[in-house]
Amino acid sequence: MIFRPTSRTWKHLTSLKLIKQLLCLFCLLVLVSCTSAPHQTEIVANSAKNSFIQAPTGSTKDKPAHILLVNTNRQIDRYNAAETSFAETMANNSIHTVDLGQDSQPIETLQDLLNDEQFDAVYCIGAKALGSIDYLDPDMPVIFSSVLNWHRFNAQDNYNGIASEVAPKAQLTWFKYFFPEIKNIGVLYSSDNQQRIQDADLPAEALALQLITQEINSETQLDNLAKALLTKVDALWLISDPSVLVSTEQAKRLFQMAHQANVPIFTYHSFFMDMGATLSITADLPTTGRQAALMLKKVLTQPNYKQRIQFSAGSSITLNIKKAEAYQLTLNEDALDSVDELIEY
Amino acid sequence: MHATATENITIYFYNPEINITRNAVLKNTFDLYLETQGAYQFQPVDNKETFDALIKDKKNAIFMMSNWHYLQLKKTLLLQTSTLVLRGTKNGNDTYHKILVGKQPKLDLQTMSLATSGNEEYSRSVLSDIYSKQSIDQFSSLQVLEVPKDIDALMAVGFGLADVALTTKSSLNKLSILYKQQNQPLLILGESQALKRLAVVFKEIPQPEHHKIQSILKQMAKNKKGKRGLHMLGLDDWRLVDGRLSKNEGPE
Repeated sequence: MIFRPTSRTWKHLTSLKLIKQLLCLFCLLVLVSCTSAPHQTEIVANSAKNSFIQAPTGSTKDKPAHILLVNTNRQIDRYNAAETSFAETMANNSIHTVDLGQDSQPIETLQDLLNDEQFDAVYCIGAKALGSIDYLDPDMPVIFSSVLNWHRFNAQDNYNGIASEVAPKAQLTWFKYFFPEIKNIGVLYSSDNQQRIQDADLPAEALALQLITQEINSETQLDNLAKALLTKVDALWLISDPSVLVSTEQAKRLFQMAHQANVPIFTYHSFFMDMGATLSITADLPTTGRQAALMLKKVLTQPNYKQRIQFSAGSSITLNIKKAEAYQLTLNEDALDSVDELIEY
Repeated sequence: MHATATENITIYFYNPEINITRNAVLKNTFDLYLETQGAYQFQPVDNKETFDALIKDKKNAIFMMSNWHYLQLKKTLLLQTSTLVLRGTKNGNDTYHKILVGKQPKLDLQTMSLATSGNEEYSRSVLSDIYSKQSIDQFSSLQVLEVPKDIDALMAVGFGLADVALTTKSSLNKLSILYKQQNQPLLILGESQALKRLAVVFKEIPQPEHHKIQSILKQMAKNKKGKRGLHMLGLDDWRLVDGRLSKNEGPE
């Protein structure tokens, strides 16, 4: 049961959540102590869910799951791609889809829906979908994808998701695969990404790459520190770090500095190809939808399943071959069979 | 009706092992080569049903397809009007092996997840080839995660996103070369029989056009743009074959 918040302040929300939890506990006690109708249906439903969870294999086949799919905006291709592949992978299950694209009161919409129907799990695509569901905090597994600040949801027990980028070690592997002679890769990062940079060190070493890192603590430091770093590296690896890429202008300036220093930029998103990146390794969105579906199946069948966040297993690769030639990079021609988009200007 | 010198001839392409997200880049790369050679165009197709319909309906056309698909074609009436003309090769070899790779030597076929760059139907058919002595039902509970590329599938296993990967020996070799100091190496758990590479089938292309296009495709390996197109398909050349499908010739 979800209660409609009377106020949007967090204080109120927190107290409502507490009330909700207490009420749920109370309901559970009532349900457990009463074996007769009208609660019988609820008990049966819960038992069925438990046997669903305990079944070692294929229980989603035995009893279709009822999934709430919340899409931030179906008109956006990347969200639509994730929805389509998720639905294909979850065929034979029942999926109720909500498109929040034109919805100015998404929380109310979802709240009414959660009150009306009993779902086994929720799949959220995009930040608006996840933010709205997070506000309501339903007592069921929540799976998400296409959310940039996914780190925020890492600690929540019933939340699992697919990160909106390819794993840093996979990105490094692709860099080395395309350009085997690359040795020194520079990275600019803020303290928020310190752990991620440390985690990338070992795989980099295994690939005979040396990560030359530079922490940036304020926007004003960027120009001088970036210029110094660019003198030491064969390529610059642009990671998702809002403290480094504060604005589009700053990103453009960084690309200009790299170009002047004759250093190619490899990046985590194809968005930067227009700014002058040489190679981008972007998460493949249909794959994230398929991963979300498989993760959801596991969450429903294995009660102790805790993967939290998976990186995307699929990559979409864009290569600017003219830039690779201009920077005199040695391209592994075999790697062309992995390119999704080839830029030749 | 036969093709004339002014008529556009289309090479239709479908391969369940190649992700359709790559169709645009394949078209652009092939067209860049083909447009220098005459009125030809390359047209990747998104799904098997559309491709099958094109094979059935189109005349004066060329079809580039996986051997898996070609073997199905051989069972149809189309064999009376189509000719297998070229086979893709890599390092002089027109075959390759699919392998099943994992970190653990023992498989639990009921619960494991499989990362594969092929579509599900194709991947299950390769698995049944690798495990030909076991019932196909063994794989009914298998969780299949389709990924865009062979190397994605391998990395999915390497990084714990899937239990096993269906990939090629050459992709495993490529990754092994990159990761010389891998802590937990990937194990080959099974291997398919030798599989033929891409087949190029001509349907009702009259001479001398037939010979001309055959030569244009064969020359790809000697041309910078053509070579790039071949690399996009994981090939480095074509090998000429001359077998009328109707006579049940042509290598499988």
